[in-house]
Amino acid sequence: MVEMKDKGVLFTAGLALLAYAVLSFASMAVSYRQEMNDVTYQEALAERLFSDSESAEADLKDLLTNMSGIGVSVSGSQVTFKEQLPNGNADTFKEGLTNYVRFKHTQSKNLALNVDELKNTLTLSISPSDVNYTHNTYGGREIRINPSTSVSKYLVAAQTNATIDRCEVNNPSVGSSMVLDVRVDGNSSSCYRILDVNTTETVSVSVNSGSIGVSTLPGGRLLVSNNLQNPINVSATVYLIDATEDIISVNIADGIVRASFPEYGLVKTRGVRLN
Amino acid sequence: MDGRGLVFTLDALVAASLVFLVLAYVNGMVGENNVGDWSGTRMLESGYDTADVLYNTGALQAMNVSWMERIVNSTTPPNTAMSMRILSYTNSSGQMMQSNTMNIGPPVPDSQAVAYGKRTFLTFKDGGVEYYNVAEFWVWSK
Repeated sequence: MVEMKDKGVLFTAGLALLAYAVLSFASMAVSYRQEMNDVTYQEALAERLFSDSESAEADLKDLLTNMSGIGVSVSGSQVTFKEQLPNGNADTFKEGLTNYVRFKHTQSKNLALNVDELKNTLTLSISPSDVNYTHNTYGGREIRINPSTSVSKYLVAAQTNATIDRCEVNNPSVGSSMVLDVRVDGNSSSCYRILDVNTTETVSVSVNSGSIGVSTLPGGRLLVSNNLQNPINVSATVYLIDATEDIISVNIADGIVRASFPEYGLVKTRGVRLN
Repeated sequence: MDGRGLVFTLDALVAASLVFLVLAYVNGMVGENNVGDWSGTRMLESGYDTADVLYNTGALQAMNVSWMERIVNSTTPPNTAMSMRILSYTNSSGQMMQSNTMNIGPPVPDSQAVAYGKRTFLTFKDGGVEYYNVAEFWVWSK
């Protein structure tokens, strides 16, 4: 009698243990599955963030290429910017940006576009040399190039329909830290100057008593200005030291595109590469 | 002796019932959580990749249906199908107005899991934006 009771207890206890083991295993499987679902969901969100920001980058690049009136090309260690001064496309481009931001906002609430700097100064940066091509005001009468590392030469070519009757160099300081090559073509006349300049001083080439000015400023900065009534076409080439075409990129400032899902701690920021 | 056998049998039946109940509960729990899996993410990635190819080749911007269909058919994995819809908007006094719709691929099934994604792109005319476009896509297992 006692033996049979023991057997029954053992049998029941064994089944109970088996049930407990199965239940524990199932609980683990459910927990693992839930974890996997969370990871999969976050991966899908990350994929969406990446795609949203990537398409915004492509759209902004298309907008800038098609509407800003600024051309950018890279060849060897040289980066060339072409633009009309004042830029007649500025207002159209700014309006295009405003409309694009509005459009993008209707499509993705998780995307923020900070285009203020683009509208105000339209600053383009050259990496890895960290040289900026910018404006006092985009659509204004000045173009500036601010280098933080050495630039060996600036070549500034400009075309105007005005007649050039004066071509002067102010403060032709002796120096050899940089070359300033200025070529202004006017109506049946021109102003060409190649200068070895000292980057600690201001050196200017002035056309028609300052109507068109090309200057290097302390720090190796370049300033191009047009005070003529009509716009001029400007091509500014920067010769970089220790840079080659395969590593040079021209970008709109990083952080212009910001996609995020804050509740999951996912954030993706990016700039816009133009070349 | 007969009484003992009956108790033993009843005990075994009760225990077995408990085990079956536990198994049924476990099966239900696992089944409930078996909704999301990796294949959905892979299908989504496949859709984004195809949308990127369409953009980078210029097929999207050209709005050429046969060109787009060729690319979709050649880039979509063989065990999946993809459908796409392009919505084009114009700016009218600060409001985005939908002006065109274009469909590519088979109809989207409503009886199975489908991965959904989208990307935007612009088309230009006369130095300005002609259309602000959204390319939506759906990918599912065949």
